Amino acid sequence: MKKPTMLFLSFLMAVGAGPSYAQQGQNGQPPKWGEIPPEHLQMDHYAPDSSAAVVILADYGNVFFENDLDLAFERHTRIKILTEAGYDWGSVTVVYHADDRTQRVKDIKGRTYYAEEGGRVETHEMEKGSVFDEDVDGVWRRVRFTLPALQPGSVIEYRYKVVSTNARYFPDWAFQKSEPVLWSEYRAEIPEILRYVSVYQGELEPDVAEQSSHTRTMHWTIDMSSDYATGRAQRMANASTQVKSIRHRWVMRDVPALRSEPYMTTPEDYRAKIRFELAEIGRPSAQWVQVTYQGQTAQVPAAQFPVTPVMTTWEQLAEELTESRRFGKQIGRQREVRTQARAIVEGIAEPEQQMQALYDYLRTTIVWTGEHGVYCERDLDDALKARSANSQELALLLVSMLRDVGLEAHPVLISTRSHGQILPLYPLVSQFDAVIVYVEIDGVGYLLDATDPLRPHTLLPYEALNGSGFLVRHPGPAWVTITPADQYRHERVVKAQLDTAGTLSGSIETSDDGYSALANRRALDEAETPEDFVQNTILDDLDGALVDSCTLTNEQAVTEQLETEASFSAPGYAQVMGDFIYFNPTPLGRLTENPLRLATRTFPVDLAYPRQQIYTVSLKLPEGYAVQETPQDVSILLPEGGQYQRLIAVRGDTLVTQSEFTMSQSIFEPECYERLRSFFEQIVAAEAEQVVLKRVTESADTVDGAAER
Amino acid sequence: MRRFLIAPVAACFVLALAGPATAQDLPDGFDETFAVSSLDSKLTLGADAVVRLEVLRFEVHNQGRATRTVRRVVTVLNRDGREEGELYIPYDGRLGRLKQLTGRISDANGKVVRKLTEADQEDYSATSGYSYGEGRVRVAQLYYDTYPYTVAFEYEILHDGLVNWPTWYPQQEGIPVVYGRFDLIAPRDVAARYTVQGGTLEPEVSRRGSRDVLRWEIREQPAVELEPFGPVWQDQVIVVHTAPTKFEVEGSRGDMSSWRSFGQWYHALNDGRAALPPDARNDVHRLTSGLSDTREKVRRLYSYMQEKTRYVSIQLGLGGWQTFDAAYVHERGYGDCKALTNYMQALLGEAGITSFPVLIYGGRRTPEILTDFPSNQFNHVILYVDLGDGEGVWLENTDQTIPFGHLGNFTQDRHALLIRPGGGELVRTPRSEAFQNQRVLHAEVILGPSGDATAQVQKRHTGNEQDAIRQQLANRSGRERGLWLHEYIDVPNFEIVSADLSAVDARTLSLALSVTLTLPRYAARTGKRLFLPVNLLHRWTYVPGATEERTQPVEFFRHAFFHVDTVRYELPEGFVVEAIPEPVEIETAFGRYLARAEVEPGGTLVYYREVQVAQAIFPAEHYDAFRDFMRQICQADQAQVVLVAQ
Repeated sequence: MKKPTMLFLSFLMAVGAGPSYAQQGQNGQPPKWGEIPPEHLQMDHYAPDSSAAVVILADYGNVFFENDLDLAFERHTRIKILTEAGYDWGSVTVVYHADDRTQRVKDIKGRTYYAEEGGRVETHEMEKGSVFDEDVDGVWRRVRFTLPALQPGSVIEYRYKVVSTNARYFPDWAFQKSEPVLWSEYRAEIPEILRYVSVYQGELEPDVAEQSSHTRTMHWTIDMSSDYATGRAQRMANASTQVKSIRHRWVMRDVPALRSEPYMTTPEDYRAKIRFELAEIGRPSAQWVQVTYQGQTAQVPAAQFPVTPVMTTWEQLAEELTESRRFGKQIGRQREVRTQARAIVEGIAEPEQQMQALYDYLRTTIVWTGEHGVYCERDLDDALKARSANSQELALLLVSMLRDVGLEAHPVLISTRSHGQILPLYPLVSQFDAVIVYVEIDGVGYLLDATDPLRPHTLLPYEALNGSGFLVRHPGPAWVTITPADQYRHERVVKAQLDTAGTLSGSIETSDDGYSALANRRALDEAETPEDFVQNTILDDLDGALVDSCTLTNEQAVTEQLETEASFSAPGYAQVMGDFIYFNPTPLGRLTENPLRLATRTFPVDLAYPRQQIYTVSLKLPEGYAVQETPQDVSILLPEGGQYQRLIAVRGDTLVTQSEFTMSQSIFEPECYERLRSFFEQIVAAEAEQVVLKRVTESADTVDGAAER
Repeated sequence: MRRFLIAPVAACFVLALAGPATAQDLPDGFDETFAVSSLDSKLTLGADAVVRLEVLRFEVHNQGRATRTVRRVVTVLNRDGREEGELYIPYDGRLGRLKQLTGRISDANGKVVRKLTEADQEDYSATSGYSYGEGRVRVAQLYYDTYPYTVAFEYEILHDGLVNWPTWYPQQEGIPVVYGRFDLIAPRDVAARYTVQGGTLEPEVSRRGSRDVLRWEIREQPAVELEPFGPVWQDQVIVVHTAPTKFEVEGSRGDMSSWRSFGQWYHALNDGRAALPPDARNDVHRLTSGLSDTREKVRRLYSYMQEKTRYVSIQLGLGGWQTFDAAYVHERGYGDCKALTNYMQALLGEAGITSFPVLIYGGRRTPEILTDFPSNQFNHVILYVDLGDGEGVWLENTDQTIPFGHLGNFTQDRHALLIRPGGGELVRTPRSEAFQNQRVLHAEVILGPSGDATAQVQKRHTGNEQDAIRQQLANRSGRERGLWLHEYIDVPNFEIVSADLSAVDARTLSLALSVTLTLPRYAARTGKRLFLPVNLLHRWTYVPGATEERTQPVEFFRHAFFHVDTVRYELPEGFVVEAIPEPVEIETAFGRYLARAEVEPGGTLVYYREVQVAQAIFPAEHYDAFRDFMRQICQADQAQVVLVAQ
């Protein structure tokens, strides 16, 4: 389980009653529009990171609440463009909610500065016509703008404001970017009646984290029957009173860039950022609130104001999800789903077989739209009729069908690898981006995901292999650990002969299990013919190989081993020069380069699942030649969970090579990166070794003559 | 009395043709339930889906407005044909209105089992990143699970503002068509024009009042498959191109009857947008005063434009046809192809140099435009600078890093429309020859006794051979360039000691790069031997796949080129050459390959390799010979020298 090195949890409201903290920031002034320090204008490189295309000079965000509890977010960003590669930073996109009409983006300004020789500063104002407001997909809209007159050396700055009547849309703040940041500051002034849970994540600590308490008169609109969080009040009354609010301020300075590396889940898992989720809408701490309704004014005790929990515990989250019309209420209520489920299991008595039958029905029948999330977009009956569904609809369809036939099944919320890890202590729906299924039969648990027609019920998708998932059951939610139930495993047996022209010809038998079978079924599905599949996938390492015939077994039976038998020839496999023939005794599955190219690594290497690859090659040598030299046997061990072994033996006129590669672990911490890299390096070296044959009969006239004797 | 009898019958016929969109007068005996039993099994043999009906009706109301009605019925025969139930309708959010999209699925017997609902549809913006525009896409999806089944879609788009009339492709790759029809209905004064490509297909022409009605029909078309290295799709199937004579878009009227008149419209629309602010004018004079050579002036101004601007696609303004003012581009430093070309033209104009925009179809593998069919067949604008005496320079203005005067295979060697104030004129952009497109490698390798090596590599790319490198490197930071090198260098294990890629930023036609590498275990060691692969960086491994029976002509290389590698290996002390490959020389119609390895008297091993290929289209029967050519090269590129310790 990957963990961020540091994790703060703060209930922002909890500190509210305490004494005010003094403002500690000496340099606490936000950047002033248009006042660019000369050193930033003159800057032409960034010494701590010579590869930077831009430097974010200042990224300043400020959240506060305006009247009616409107959530206002102001951002002011200033960026130094160092090279043309940084021009992308001059096009800015602000995505906002359009479906509930609660958000607006306004007050957009942009400027580009450039210090010419002699110090004169050229300023270009972004014009209104450069701002575009577009519909994205009906749910989201976006504002996009492009800053003018960019060139290496420019400083750009822009600001905008997002106003939201929905207090749930509290923006996250990332202190760390894919380019270095000199100054990132986030301020938030939150009235005591809105209570947020915030989560801080990252390897770096904020340089400043301070807060202070203030009191001011606040006016807002209330409606007992409405939900503040959605901003949709029905019968409006005006309320006003003295309200405490807490001012927070976080600053991070000189934040190094965070960039993606191979075999990592997502940079998000390591980024320094802070997230907020609305926990509760409470009441003011003042004793009285003045309320005006239809011209009448009265003092109402604050105690009479309701406390509306928005988010509290995992139990409640499970309950909410269970009660949601877009989630739990879909399960077991759809008539067509039930009818279909019962029809599918008819005549099947064993629960495991029922489970598999339902899984297989959905796997082969419903087209996955490629989308994933938590809440359904339509009723399960409709998804079933449409024969297409997103991942959550597919998962709930499966849960529903399993329950309809009397099995115990629950949805499990997960966060995919590219979405990042879950912080299991805090109940936020936004932590998840997909749903899979948990089934329990006779005390044995199974995890299922039916989004891929080629994947058996025994395998979860690669993207789902990310730690743990939240089992939604009310009462009694739980955490389930997601471990790959199978590995990437295959075996190849080659029986071939080498002729004096260097052509290798013979037969190959393969068997693939687990993720290897999945990968090869996918390749097979995409190949035009089975011969193409064998040539381009199984024999991919043999350049120019020709496949004469092939037979596939269990092509459709996805739970079984995928087996291939093929005969092939590979002209030019061995190099014939003078009296010598040279060839590599491992024709297939050779590791020709180190998958870990970078010399150092600060994050774990995450290979997702264990692996095992076994090769046996029996190679009949051409007549008239004798083995002059063979590579030595090799055995390499990686203490953290890797092993490689290769044995070569000559038995009569046949050379037998056996090799076995095993990775029993899938996650390797940075501490063992060097050993892991060297492990691969040694395998690459071993598999590059060659066999030397030498002609025995000195006077053999022709090669063909020798072969015929 | 007989005369009276004939007239009403004719009128009825015409009415039926031009009637409302839903009225489908399909051929006699056409099974409108689309039951599978009425399918010809010979036509569908081996297919995953079959188009039962592909009807396009384009009714022009006047020069600027039209209604497009599409009806498409496809039978999905198996799981692999399922994506035929997906419909993508691109449309213009400003000049087009999509309405009446309906769809349904019927089973094998023709019984409707499901209708398209809102939930099956999505509508989203088709622009992203550096582009702004009105483009939108509607996506509708219908699936079923009992094969075969039939999906039917019908929709209508109202166009307000028309430059492009439909180009009808009744057939898609790999899918047979039972029946296709295209009806074009247009007022006579708009004077519809058409041309048919890829075969003979005459329309049935009739008249209704002041309107012409043209109808093209196809029946029982077997599936056509694309073959590797074959011609583009447009050159393999029947395509009907249509175009107006008179057209109108957002109040601007034009005439497309000749290239000349179409060019006049474009010129008029974009004329008078060349005014430059004073500082730009000063810059022009500062850069060009004192220079006598016009080409040099153009070079300076082009470089000025490249440094000042970047490409941002803004397809707004008169259906995307009108450029932003030169001053707008100067101030903001960005624009689309029209705006940047207009800006460049304005800079040249200020220096007294004449140039003309050129409308062109940009793309790496694109069909030739139809030169005898004046219409909008373009998607891009470049600039031609007239230097007098038949000399000229072509300028691509959307690429900040492209060398001066270079086009690359995005726009080389094709017809295009040069816009003079008096109108349009068809011209052809230059073709690129092998000697212009070179890649020359010189490497010095020092090999150690363990097989470790160090290599100093100098490479020079010219012409089209530098495009890919430059485009991939130009807009990358130093770190990204390093990562790119790691991907680009095709040797199993290596470390980069130093690399000088700075020439990429110089925008010259000849691009010189140098890299120093260490190559751990470059030569595999087994016992007392070292196996040294002699082709250091450019081993070819691709052999085109076998095809059962090649039917289409083949074009193997998109541009001609010339590659030369010379690699000198200093061998470790105490080793002698045990075996060395024979020289290989291959001479074919496609090109020439030569490779040899020799030990010089001083003991240095020298590897020399040369490949020269032509750009040409060969008859289908050459395909296997080409595979053979490639296979021989791949094999020769694997050659190794074997050294043995003494």
